[in-house]
Amino acid sequence: MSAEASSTPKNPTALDSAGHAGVLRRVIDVCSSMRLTVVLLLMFGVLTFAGTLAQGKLGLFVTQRDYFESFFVIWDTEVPLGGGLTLKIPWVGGYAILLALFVNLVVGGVVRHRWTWRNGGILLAHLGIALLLVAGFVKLNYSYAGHVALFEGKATSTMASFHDYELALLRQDGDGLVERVVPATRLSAARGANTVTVTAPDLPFSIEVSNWLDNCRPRQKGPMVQTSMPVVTDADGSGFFLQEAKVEPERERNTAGCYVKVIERIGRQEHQAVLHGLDTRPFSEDRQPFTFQVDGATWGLDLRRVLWDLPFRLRLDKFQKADHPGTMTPRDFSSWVTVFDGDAERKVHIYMNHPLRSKEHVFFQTNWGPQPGSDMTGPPWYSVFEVSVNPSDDWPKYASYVVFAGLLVHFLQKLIRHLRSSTRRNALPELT
Amino acid sequence: MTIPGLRILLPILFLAGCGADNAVDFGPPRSATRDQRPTTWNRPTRERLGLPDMRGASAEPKQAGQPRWTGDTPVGWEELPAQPQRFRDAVWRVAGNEETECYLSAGVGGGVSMNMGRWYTQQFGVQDVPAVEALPVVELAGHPGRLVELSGTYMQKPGQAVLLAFFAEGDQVTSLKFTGPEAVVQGNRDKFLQLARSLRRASAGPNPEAPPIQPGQPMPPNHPGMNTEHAAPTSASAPAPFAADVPAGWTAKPGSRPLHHTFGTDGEVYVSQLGGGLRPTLDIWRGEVGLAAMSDAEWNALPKVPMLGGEATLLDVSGDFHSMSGKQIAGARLLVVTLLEGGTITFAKLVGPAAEVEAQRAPFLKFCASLRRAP
Repeated sequence: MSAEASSTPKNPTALDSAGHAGVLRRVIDVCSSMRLTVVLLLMFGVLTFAGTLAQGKLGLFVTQRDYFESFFVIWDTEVPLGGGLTLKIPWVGGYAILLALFVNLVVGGVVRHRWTWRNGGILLAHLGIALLLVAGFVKLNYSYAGHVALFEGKATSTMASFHDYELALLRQDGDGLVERVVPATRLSAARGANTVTVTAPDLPFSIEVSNWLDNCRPRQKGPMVQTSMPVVTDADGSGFFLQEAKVEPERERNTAGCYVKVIERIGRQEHQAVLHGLDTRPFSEDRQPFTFQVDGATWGLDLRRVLWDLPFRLRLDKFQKADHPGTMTPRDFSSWVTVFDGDAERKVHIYMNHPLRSKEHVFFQTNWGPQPGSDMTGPPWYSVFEVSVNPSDDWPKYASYVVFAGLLVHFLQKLIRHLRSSTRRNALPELT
Repeated sequence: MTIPGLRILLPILFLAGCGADNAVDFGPPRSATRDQRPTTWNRPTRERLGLPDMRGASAEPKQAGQPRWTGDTPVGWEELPAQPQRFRDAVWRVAGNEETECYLSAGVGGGVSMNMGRWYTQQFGVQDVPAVEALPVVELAGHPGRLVELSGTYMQKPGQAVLLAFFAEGDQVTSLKFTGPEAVVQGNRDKFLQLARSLRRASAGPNPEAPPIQPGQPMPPNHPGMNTEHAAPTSASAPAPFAADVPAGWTAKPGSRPLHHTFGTDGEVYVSQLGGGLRPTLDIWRGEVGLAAMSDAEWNALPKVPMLGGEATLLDVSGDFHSMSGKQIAGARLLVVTLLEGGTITFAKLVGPAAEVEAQRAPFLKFCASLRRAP
């Protein structure tokens, strides 16, 4: 610090500015540090290792959510410490690491680099990697995915979530219906006797949801069936309840359920029911909601996998599976479908790495069934497509092009500089 | 941000974080066509939840005009409507006394020991359940049965008593149970035993809702031929509790078993129901092809297939088949798809020579997937 600066201690603004500048520079230094990059990549390596181990126990969905879409995770190493305890290591989640990496990349690779032609390739490559990270962020927050399962000859215009539920209130409206939904994530407090009230200002009733279970089976109460769960008696005197089941790591194997009580605003009459979110697709798309009457209108409540309407209708024309010779292990399987979009029809063959893309929807061939065992042979089969709606679907491809272009420019510049310097070195003796 | 600002903001954030979100709104209404949301309204709860009738294939017929349980109502008692959905196939009480109830439950699964455990321990808190042979013998609906007499606190009401006569057929227990204040129950003991002796199945009566037969009206299509030898009912004409899409090549087999069919040289398939635990039952079927009981690993590895709207368990085993009814098939393969719901096992069983079963496996699984309760 200069003598002049030290002679003006009475000017707090100047001191603050200098101090702030120093702090800012230190922050930028840390954020742009190559060491930070290395540390973050190492941390991500450890996280990937931990997540891979955890996937066997927790399943793909939970591992992805808890390890890679979180800021913080407790890694249970399952190393016994005695007394039934295991070694648990707190670790930074994938979301936080990638966020930090993005900042590190932007500050260190883009902001701190001089924007000169000499650094053009490096800047471009960093920009491409940043775009890749942004694509991941957009996908995580603004995309959704589900599935469509169809037998040959069957068609649908909806896709269903693999594992997320929604409570749908339906009102019969002529041959169709009017529906309102609330996602199951909003009902998470309805555990045990705790209730969540769902309503809307224009509804003549409210709905109390309770005893939410992530995995359960409906049961009928009988003399030999004991339960601590509430038993709901229907009009003919039969009692029904939900029996809790172990939550499976493969989340799509779980079937959620809950109890609902409809309370009319006028008269306070109550209608109670047990709801079970069993998805019967592709065997049947028909839903059978709990039905009740209020003010002469027919209403229904349905706990179902989240449904999305497709912007077109899809029919499975043919499904084909080929096995490895002498085995019953499928070598590949593919589907021929017809897309009905208004008056237009389009035939598409969907197979590995060749999805159907239409109106922001991407259909990947992902599975087939029924698969009672690994030795299932013969038709009829149904085909399963994973359907993804992702605004950043193509961004990774563009990001790869940008990174490729950046590295190409960078290495060409390096090559040209190397060739020029070699030429100069070779030319020096002649000049002297 | 200034310190006072933080002082205000932090408590708000804290309260917002602690508050339970116990009231939520539905999203906006949106219309959907029937194609988009195929919906069947007003289904009974059991069908809506995809549950089988717990009373099984041999359940008490509930429709008018079919046999039902009846008995000689004792003097001073009154008969009430049956409630088969609550396992009350016939109901009485001491006239005008709402504290008493006497009902018949026919063919409840679980076996004698489990039911006795339920009556003694769960309902009356009696831990020492006597041996069934120690109970007095009584007559119940023409069967030799046993009598249980208990008193104490029942259904959280002290001073109660129960008289319970029962007999067992295999795993199925039929019981007549009389509950009420101890003094009333003891005072009606002879009437209860008299009612137990008189229980019987009533013959089928006319359906009061059926229209009268008109002159010249043709016989229904499945009516036996007139003035001809009475043919045994076929599986196609017998009232079956289930229906399914039967694969081509299967031949309906006359008999009482639902959806009983044959295929190939010696293959057969049928659908039925029984009580009991799933794993022991599967082990019994394994025993039919000479296999020992399953290990835990084998049990956990059993694949699941769709049936009746649920996840059914598939048993696929091979060996020399010796059924309990005496049927034998060398080099057989046995497929059983089982669904346990509410203590009842609904199963579809296919057995035959291994090579023929291999060809029938996929059609059989499709058959199971299409299985549904008959309306």
